[in-house]
Amino acid sequence: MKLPLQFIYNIQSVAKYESKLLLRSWFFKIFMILAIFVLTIFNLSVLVLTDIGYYVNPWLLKAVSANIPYVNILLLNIGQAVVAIFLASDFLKRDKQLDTSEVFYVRPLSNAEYVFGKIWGNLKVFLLLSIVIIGITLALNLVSENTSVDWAAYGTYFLIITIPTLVYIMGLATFLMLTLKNQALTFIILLGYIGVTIFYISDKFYYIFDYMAYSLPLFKSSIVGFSDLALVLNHRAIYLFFGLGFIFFTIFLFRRLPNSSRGHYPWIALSFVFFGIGILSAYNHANSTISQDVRRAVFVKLNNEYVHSPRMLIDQYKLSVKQNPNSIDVVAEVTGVAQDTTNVLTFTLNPGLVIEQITQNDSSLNFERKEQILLVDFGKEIYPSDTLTLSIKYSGDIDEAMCYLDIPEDQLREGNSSFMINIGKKYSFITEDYLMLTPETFWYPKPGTAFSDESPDWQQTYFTNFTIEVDPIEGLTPVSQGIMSKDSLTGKFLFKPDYLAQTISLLIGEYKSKSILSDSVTYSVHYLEGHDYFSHIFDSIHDTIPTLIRDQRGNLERRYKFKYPFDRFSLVEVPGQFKGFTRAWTRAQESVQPEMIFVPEKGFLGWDFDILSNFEDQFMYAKWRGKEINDKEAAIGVFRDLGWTFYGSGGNYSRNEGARGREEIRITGGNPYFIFPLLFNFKYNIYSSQWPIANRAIELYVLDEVNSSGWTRNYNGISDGEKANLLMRDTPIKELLADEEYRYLTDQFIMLRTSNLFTEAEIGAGVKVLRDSLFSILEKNTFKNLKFEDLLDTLGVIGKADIHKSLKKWDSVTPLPRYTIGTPEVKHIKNPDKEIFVFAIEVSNDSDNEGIINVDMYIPGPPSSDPKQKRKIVFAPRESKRIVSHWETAPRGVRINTLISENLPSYIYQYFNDVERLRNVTIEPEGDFTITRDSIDNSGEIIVDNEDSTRFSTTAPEPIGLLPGWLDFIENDTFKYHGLTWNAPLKWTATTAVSYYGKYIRSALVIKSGDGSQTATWKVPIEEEGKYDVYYHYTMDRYSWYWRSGEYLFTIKYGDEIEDAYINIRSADNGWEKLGVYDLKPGVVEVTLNNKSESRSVIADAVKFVKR
Amino acid sequence: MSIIIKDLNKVYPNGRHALKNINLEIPSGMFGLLGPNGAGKSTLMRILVALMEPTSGSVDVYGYDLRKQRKEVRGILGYLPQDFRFFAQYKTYEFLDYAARLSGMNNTKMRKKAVDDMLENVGLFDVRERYANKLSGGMKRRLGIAQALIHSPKVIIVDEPTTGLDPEERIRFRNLLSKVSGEDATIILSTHIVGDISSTCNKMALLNQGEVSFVGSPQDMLKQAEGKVWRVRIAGDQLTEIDAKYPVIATIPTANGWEVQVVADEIVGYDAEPYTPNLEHAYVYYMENQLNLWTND
Repeated sequence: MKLPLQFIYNIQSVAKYESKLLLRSWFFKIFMILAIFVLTIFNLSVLVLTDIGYYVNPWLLKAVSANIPYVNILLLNIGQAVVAIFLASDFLKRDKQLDTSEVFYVRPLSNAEYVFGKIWGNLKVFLLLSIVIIGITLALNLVSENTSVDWAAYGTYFLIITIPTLVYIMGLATFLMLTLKNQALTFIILLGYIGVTIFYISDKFYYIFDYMAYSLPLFKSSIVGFSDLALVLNHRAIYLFFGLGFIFFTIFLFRRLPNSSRGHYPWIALSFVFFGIGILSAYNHANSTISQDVRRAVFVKLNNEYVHSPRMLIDQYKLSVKQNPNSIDVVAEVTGVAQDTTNVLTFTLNPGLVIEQITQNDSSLNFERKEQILLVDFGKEIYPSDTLTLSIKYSGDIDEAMCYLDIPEDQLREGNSSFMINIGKKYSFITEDYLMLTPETFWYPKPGTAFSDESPDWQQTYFTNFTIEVDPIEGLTPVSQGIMSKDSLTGKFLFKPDYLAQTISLLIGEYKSKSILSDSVTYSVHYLEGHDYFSHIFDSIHDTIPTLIRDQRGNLERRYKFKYPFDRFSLVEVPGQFKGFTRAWTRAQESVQPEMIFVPEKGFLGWDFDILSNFEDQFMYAKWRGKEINDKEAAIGVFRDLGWTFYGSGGNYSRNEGARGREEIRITGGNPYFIFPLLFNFKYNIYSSQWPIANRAIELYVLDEVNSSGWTRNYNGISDGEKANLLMRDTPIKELLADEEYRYLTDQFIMLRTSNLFTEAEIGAGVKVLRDSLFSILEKNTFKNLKFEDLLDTLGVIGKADIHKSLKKWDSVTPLPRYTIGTPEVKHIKNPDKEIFVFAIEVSNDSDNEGIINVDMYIPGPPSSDPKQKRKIVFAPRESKRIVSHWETAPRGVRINTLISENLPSYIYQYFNDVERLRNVTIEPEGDFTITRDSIDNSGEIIVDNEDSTRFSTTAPEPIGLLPGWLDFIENDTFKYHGLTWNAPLKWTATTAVSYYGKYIRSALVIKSGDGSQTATWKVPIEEEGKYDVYYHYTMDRYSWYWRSGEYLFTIKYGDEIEDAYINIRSADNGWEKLGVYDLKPGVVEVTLNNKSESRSVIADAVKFVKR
Repeated sequence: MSIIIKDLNKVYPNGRHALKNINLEIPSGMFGLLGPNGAGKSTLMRILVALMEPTSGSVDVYGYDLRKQRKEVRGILGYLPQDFRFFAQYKTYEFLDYAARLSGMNNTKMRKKAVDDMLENVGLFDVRERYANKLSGGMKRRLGIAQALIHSPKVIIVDEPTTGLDPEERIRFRNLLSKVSGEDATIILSTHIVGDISSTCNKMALLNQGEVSFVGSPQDMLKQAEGKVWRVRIAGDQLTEIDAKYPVIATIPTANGWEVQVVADEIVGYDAEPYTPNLEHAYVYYMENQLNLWTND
């Protein structure tokens, strides 16, 4: 390299002509036009003409305008990565094919110049295309209303997404092409690689394989910027350097004699240097996550160690916080009482915060720090009820590894994205101009430990008196709980909650606020400077807002039967990366704190926060309803819509992989902005050292939400409640709650157990009385700590039941009862003196376990509080009951929920179509009557169901190919029954539904209609000779959307005879359909159903023989 | 200044010994490398232009060691490969400009002039905007020679340049080369067409089965064939017979039979008269007698 100028010149020459070739190739031209077209349309529809294309929430891009270049560059990058592979692997092949290339090879340029030139030439065109796209995006960004332009983001995303990706993929492609020497193979391998990284690996392995930055969190907040730019740069360095390594290696591999005989060696050496840097970056990257896991494990281990160690109860915190650019200085004065006789008390403080001094009455105390654990040595014995005051001085920043120790690692690491924007997760912020500290960070010392996976003892929340004094960096404004005052002399702010709080948070930034008073509660919005995009819409309804709030608050309090307890309610804008998780023990996520809810910047994740667009849409909606509205009415509409963000408990329906790649629908997450915790969790504290889920149990009980979404049950084949039942039969609830695999069933476990816990008392006092009592006990304990066991005792007195004793059962597994449920009947009786409807049903508990069922009647008319309509009935082991009730209006149906039982489905509903009319008969008295078991079984009937494994069998199709065999092998059959989808299964598949026949389990086997080769056979034993009516239990295929037609074909084999029989689907009703009459002798009759049918599927359920 | 080839060997990975102990000194001027297909001409050419490495031996090009100073050698080299048909999507002038740039003609203005002049020289100026792929065979060859000459190289190596050209194109091509050879450059012209050499080269070598079997001037070659070429008149049915006995160079039908030209030390039993040999005759004679390529029995 004597002539660096010539070196550059040669590269430029090769590059110039390589670019020309690329620009002239059809492949690239089409790609270029397509890319420009697609992205222009995308930007137009999202940024400019927001009325069309609601496939992506425009507010996501407009609110945080860095997302505009982010999404565009990411989209383009995927296309480029694919096209670049093709082209890069092509150029060397082309050289080989063209005999004219040799006249360039004999020129005096070096191999390095040639390879660099080629790659730079291609790269240049791609970069140019990127710049064109960026230009178009920028232009549309500029004309887009209601957003801003983040100029820096355009450059940053270009640098961190496009450049490393292209360098890497081009390097890799040329490298592979030279080693594999086969373009098709190279292309397929690389395409597969792209597919695997996008669709399979995505956020796994700490994003380390995400060379396209497709899943890597690259969200840039308009408040704090990138959450961890150093980490991002390090990640991109992996690919930039690997790419360079490959390129330099290509020079070595390039098939042209080098200019000098040792010309190769410097390049291969450099190539290894780059690979080395790449590997180092990858190690750094992985290590940053792994070391976090290691630290988390250390923290949990320490928590386990100290979870039972002596602690104090803190009655008062006086926190004095000084904000520094990248740290905080805090003096925490805590006052409380000791709980045990000890010398040493245990506290927990974030390990990023370093303690300088601890004093008691101005004298220094010795202390020991083990990561987050703080052990304060009082130097003398202290006794329970001793009042202690400590002053702890510390400073530093937050170690986020300390947060969410209870959340499994893969959930922590799961991508957090919306559309293509990968937001990442942050739990606190301490930057030069922004600070956010929530209780989860342990930014102030708390007694005891954080999460322990060995003992629930760690989880002790108490109501405490807080005071915070904040000294922010000049120009910044703090936000916290309580009444705020500012000392004009010192410039310090003081926050004093006028209630006892469990937790406290502190945010400091360029906060501005708008407030409005309604019914003596101050409603505020704390937004960051420059983020007021809403008030010009709401100014016009300024005077109406208090009324709107009153309405909404009224609705909310009526719905949940709890009063909003605070004098203030604030929405606080926080950076988009701030993330919380659903916990097992509370509905509150970290984004909800006493008297405030944290909303991500400008509410960018929600459609309803796009206030300007929504304002315009209101006119459109009104038009659809045939109404004309004015600006004020539109603004009111927007305000109301905004409210919905906070009212729903939410949760996402997400698909999860079940057995054999079968997807399951699960409800995960939960609305992080749900307002309910402010009405419950921050107001009451039901604690129990035994049962940290106590709060949750009471919460779920009072909410009384029934999850009865039938479609998820159809899809999954089993409901979450039924799953929970079956699991609790074999495993104690404590173990299940600790099992990450079943975390999505947590609510089900708690709900079923709690409902069971209170049943006896509900029967004793009446459901309504018991619930009302619970509400009033809770109300009396507002901002007070209430012991779970005491609460249960009180309720037990009211309900005349020993609830406390029932709680003991939570320690063991739940043996499940199972019930035979007879056919319900309704009689319309007209006697001269009385006209009445009599409902009766016989239910038998066939197990040795006691149980409870719910019997809910459907009575037309307005909802009534008649306790008869919703009843709980207790069954002793082996007890059979006839349940009779009288009604003035005709009952339409009954729904029986067998709750914690082996019955599947766990509920059964039946509508009464045929009411027997009787005159002048004796009316059967009302009540539950114990009867003998036999009366329920219908005598003279012989029924063989598909659940009868000795008498029922099916054929299985031969597996075709290796894969199905392997799938069968790995099939995980935790739950025997599967859901049904539009695609009928190819082999007999067990499923459950109310409409199927079954004694305890109403199940049937379903198969796709076919050639008749698949059969199901019932073997029916006949003991007495005679004439028999033979029935088949038919159920209509619920996915059969077209007109029902076709037949079910049977053969009936008895003695030496084989007869055909059929059911015509068109005329068949659900239930027993007659197949024919047969003269039978003692022996076994075989009824066989095959899968030849015109219908979509064939369902094998049960056969019934009735002797005439 | 000259090119000195010493003990050059090339054995392909498949074991084929393509060049066997080649020793040659190629002075400036036009040098012809003659030989049948597969004689190793292209292998030698490709080694000379540093596209291929010899198995052993050395090549000194104008004082540069080809195995160590490739950059320097490449700097003074112009090369037109045997196959010159498939182009990347470049226009005629772009192809030339690209070649010029890679040979270090950095000055844009001068390069543009050189390209235009060269296009004019080879008669391609009118098609300069045409894609090179769309040129006719002759035009492609001319473009080939243009790119080999664009940077005024000291050594020009052209491999089978006239294959597939019509006679007019071929003459034009030879003239173009002769013109350059007047400019004190070494031109190595490899061909299996004797006519290409006879009309242009003052020195030549004959390569056969990887070995140099003759080095000298075309005149030396001719001398060896003097008195060995005969014109024989035969009857119509004797053609097969004579073809079997002697190497026949030309066959011309006459009124009562054939007039054939044969190469032989003497002719017995036919109506034969001596004929003044040309280089082609000499080449055939050489192949026939010195190398015993053909057997008459």
